[in-house]
Order: sequence, then C-alpha cells, then structure tokens
Amino acid sequence: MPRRDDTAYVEFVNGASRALRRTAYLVCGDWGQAEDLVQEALLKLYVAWPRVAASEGVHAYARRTVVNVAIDAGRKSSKLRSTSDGIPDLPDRHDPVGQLDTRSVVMDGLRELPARARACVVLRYFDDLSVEDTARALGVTTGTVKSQTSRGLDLLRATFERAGLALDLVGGDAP
Amino acid sequence: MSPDIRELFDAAADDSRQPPIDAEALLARGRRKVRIRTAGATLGTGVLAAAAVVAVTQFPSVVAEGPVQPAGTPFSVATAETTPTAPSTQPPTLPPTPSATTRPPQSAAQTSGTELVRKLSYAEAARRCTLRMRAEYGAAGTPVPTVIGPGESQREGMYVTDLLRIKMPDGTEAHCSVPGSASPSYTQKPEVAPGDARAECGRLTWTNLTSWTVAEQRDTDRGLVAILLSNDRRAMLYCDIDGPGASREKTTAFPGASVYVLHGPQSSGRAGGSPSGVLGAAPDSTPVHWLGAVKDGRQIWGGGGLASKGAVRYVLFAGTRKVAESKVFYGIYAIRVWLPPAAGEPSLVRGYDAAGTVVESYQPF
Repeated sequence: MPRRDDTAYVEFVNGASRALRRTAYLVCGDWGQAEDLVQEALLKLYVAWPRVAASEGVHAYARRTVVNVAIDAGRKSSKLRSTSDGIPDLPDRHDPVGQLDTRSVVMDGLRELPARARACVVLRYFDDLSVEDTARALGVTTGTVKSQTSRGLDLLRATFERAGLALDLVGGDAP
Repeated sequence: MSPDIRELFDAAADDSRQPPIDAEALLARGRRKVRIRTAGATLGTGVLAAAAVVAVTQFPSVVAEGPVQPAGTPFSVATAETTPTAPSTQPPTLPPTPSATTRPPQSAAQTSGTELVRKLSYAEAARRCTLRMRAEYGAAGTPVPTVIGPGESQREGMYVTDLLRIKMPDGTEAHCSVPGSASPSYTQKPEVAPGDARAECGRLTWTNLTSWTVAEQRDTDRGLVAILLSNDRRAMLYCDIDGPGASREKTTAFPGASVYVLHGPQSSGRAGGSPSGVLGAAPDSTPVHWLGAVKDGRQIWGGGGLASKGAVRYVLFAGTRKVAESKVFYGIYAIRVWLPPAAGEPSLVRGYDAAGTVVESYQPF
C-alpha cells in the first residue's frame, strides 16, 4: 500500500492552494466559500493521497474535486452567491481606472451562468485547460464542454454588452 | 486594445487580500479524518455483513416486486362540456376511485378513463433509499463517500436537468424539466433555439414507474437527494430536498421536495410515440404533481409527486371539454389516461380543492 507522504502533501498545499482558491472563487463567486471548497478538496486529497499520487496528477485531482464540489454546492443553493452578499469588500485605493467595476462585471457575468457552463469557461480560460482536460475534470464529454463553453461565452458576452463594455471574451480562441 | 478573458479572470480573481491557506492545519485535519475513516472501516466490517443480509433479504423483494398490476376498472370520466374559465362555480365531480394497488388487471378494450399505474409513497421511497444506502455505504451514520471520483457525481452519465420556465394560462410561470448537462437554475430563464433539447419540454421518453427502483440517496449538508431509476436505466426521478435536517438517517416525508425527471445523454428517444413525461415543478419547491404526458395512441402517460396545497382532484381539459379527471395522488406515481372518443390533446390541467375552487392551472404539454 502506498505510503502517505505528509511532507509532499504540505508542499503541494503550499504551492497549489492559491491557484485552486482563485479557480474556486471564479466558480462560486465568494472568497469565503472558495476557501471552504478548497479546504474540503484538499482534505479529500489527503485521504486519497496514496492512490492519487500513484495514479495521476495531484493537481488535476485537486482541481477536479474543487470544481465538482463547487458545482454540487451551487446546485443545492440554486444560485451563485452574490458578490454583494455578506461583508462588502473594502474599497480599493489602488483602483484609479475602475478595475473594480470591470471585476464586478466579470463576476456578475459568471454569476449568470449555469454552474457547469461557468466551470467550463473558468477551466478553459482561466486554468487554460484543453477541451479534453476540461472534460476529464468535469467528468463530461468533450462535446458537452464545447457546447457549455460556447453557451457560457455567449452569456458572458451579453453581460458585457449590457454593461457597455466591448471586451474580447474569446481572446481569439474558439471554445 | 481590449483585454482578453484570461486577463479579466485574472483580475477578477485577485487574491492579494486573502490570507494563505494553512497547510499544516490542513494536514492535521487530514490526519484526523484518516484516523476516523480507519476506525470506521474496522467498524464497517460488521456493517458490511449486515448489509449483505439486507441485500439478500430485502432487495430481491424490492426489485422483484415488479410492476403493479394495472387497474381493471378505471373510474369513469365525465366528458361533459365545461367552461374552464369558470370552474370555481362548477367544480367537476369525481367518481369514486378504487384502490390503485388492489384493482384487478384492466381489460384490453379500455378506451377511456384514468388509471393509477403505480404509486410509491415518499415514505416508501425513503425506506428503499435507506436500504439501498445501507447496502452500498453502510449503516446510518456512516459518512457518505466524500471523494468524488471521475464521473461519480454523474452516475450512468445522467445529469440533473435544466429547468425550463413554462408559461401558464394565467400568465404565471412554472418550470418543467428537460435533459441537460447543467444543474437546475431557478433564477435563470434559458433562451433556447428551436431544436434545442430544452425546447422539447414535454417530449421526453418516459416509461411508466412500474418497476422504478431507488438508485441512490445521499444526504448533503443542505438537504437530501434521492434518485429513482427507471428499469431501462435511461430516466430517473430526482427528489431533492433543500433544508437542514433532512438526512438518510431517518425517514423523511419529502415535504417541499422538488422532483426532476432525469435523462442521460445516451437517451435517444425523446420524441415519438413512447410514453413520455415532463415535470411541472415550481421554483420555490411548490409541490409537483404531474410529470406531464404525451399521447401514445389514445393514451396519455403522466405522473408526479406532491399535489398543490388543498388540491383534491385534477381535471384535464381539451379546449373547453373535460377529458379526464383524477383524484390527487401523493407520492411518486405514474398515471395513464385514455382520451375519450374524438377528444383532442389536453390543453389545460386544473386542480381543485374540496370546495371546487381552482388551486392550480397550467398547460400539461
């Protein structure tokens, strides 16, 4: 039976938790929930560490768990938590060009997406996963990833248009 | 130059003000969790033996229970012309309804009427769920497996369906359920193009519930999910209770549950003459009572879950003509309706309370 390497686990958490939390935040829309999701996923990873470390990439496993837990959580709560829920973010003194507004539009746009479409878009365009890797992460077919990504981008584009922003949502890369 | 989506996401997910995750604390929690699981596995040896007994002694009877014999004498249907716009003053009458589970087989010459084919109470569904869970995961209280493996949340390739809003005759909106790869959204109104699966609401292949079995039940931190699987394993009912306290550790009466019809992507026959169903589900967990129907010759198949509050009977109208009438069935059920001669496809369903007041009204297709 593979041995549980605690040192390697701690190194992995220190190295990957930030990226995982950012992905989780984009999928769930709330930093507090994102932290919970990542911690839950990392705990699962620890339990499964001997098997996962021996069979597949631990980062892929952790990311897959984060996203699936986030989707499950979103399914139960019916809707993405609003970024305005709870304690509001402190005003950013280093925002001379209205980046917060743009961030708000981005998060509003993501919030409008169905959970799986949101996950597809985030994995494809934030985590830079291929269609195949995204499909593996979500446990769906590549066709589903393509259709969900396309649908998600369409909805995002509509959100940006409503906000009066003309932005390159696709970045030249087709779903 | 406009920023691309990667830059936007990068900026939106700015975590510069978020504290780092404490790896050592996580490690400690992980070690504790492993210890608990190890202890549970030891205890589970005995549980598995008990589960094997349950599987041998209970499942054969559950699974082999098979179809409930269809009714032999469906109650008659009054086919007099009615005025759906003023039903509260002319409540339809309901002939006595025989017990659904004790009626003899129907005659092949059946040409009209309504028949309850199968009814599974929620308590019974929960009981079966519990049995199944014990066999699969151990005794009550055993943690549900927490590690989500590849595809584990989408067993058999099935997905929770999208919910599509449907407009009621009175202008209000409810939901029906259609195949989809996305989770249900109660807050969004999907816009679908002609030909989109979600536009096919009401045309899903749906066998009756005669041999549906509970495939899975799992409790989460926010509720309980139970799944009933069709015998062809291509469709299932998804009973989802949002609410704290719901747990597989106890029988739950499914109050306020939402019920979805699920289909896997492999499901091929969404349209055509097969018995089909669609679910009328309200966004606020308002009771579901009708899985919709399609015509299969002169038959209509449908089914549902809970009835609207106060409802005692439902009446199907084709235009202004009443074509079928049914009492309320609480539970997960299948119902078959024979259209009377020359009757068109039902275009309206109305639910009435004991005083004859309309408590619900919607389009069945």
